[in-house]
Amino acid sequence: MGRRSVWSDERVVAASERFVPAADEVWRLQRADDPECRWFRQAVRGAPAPVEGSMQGTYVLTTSGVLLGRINSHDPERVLNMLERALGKWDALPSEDRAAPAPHGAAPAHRWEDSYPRDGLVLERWARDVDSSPSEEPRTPVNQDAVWFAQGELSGFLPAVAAIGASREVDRELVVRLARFAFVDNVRGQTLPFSSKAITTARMRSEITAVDGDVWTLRLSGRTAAATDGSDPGEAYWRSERDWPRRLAVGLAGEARWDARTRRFRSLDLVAIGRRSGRTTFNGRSREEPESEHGIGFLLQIAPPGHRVAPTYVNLYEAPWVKMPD
Amino acid sequence: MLAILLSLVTPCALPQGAPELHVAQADMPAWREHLAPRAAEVAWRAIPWRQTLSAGLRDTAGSGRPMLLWLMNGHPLGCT
Repeated sequence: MGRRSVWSDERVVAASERFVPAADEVWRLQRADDPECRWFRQAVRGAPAPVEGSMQGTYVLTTSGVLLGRINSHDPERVLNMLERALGKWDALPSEDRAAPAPHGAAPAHRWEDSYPRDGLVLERWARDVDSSPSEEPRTPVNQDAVWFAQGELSGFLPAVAAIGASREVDRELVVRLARFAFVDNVRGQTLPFSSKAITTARMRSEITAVDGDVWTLRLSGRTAAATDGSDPGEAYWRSERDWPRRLAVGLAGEARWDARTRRFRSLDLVAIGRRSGRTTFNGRSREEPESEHGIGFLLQIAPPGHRVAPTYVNLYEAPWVKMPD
Repeated sequence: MLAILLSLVTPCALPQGAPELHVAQADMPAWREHLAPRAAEVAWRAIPWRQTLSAGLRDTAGSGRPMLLWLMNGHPLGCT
């Protein structure tokens, strides 16, 4: 994947120190009627009108809206050359361009990151193709996403009393969130979520296995399954080119440590291992037999502090704490 | 012969080695290790990426440096 081939190159990493690095999602910047998006299109295209196609790539920009360079390449050499040329243009700019403040007109009116659950549970999710045993060499690639839970939802994971052996079924709506949006086959590229009616199983049990002062250790286990004929895209922004059927079912095993004093999870590790079949337009499975089943695995862990990139389908959470655009 | 015929008419099913749908708790640590990204798979995290265009513009102002903006279909620091 591009982010491995370019940004893992030591020369590119070193060159990045001469810039202020930023990353963002391009679909919204190309199409949305938001001040932040219009600023981007004005700077890059010279006009704020929405743009079709894809403007993926690497850009060098000033806060005054001058485009110093752009490239869409997985080749570190070509990216390095673009960065060097852009720095040459930067050095030649008038000082007022180089010292321009952040543009007032580029502040976003709405971003999904506005719903970041600061006091809740912020998980990052990794997905890989797997074989039958964890002792096999891990397959590549791995892809990332996120899952968010608000503080007010966390009690749905917790048994009522702090006693070894106490247990409960995790609130179904929380498990359904995992099944619809986290346990999806985007190992090789973006895919669609599952709709609510595609979820055939969503069970997770939470049991206390140890209590140490305020800290409870929880064992998590369960299973989810989803199946669709492909005719329901799950209210996503886009549809597949065709209504391809797809299925995904996983078993769950995990462990979490809950701090009853701070009302926060200190750790959470959940693995989901199972099988999938089918495809969507962009998820890189077009060469598979449509009915063939393949192993897939997911890992959920607490995200690093400060990682606020929103889950892909947070707009479909149907949760009151998710701020929708006006 | 029967096995050959069956292999020709049966749709491609679960390949050998695909996992069961039950994960033993004892296997969880090994699967966690297996699924976690290797250092080379997340080397791009060594770069202190601002996570939005507007955050990049904010920090670029007054920095004496231009902004390097990395854009993908799907957030580059998330699901692409």
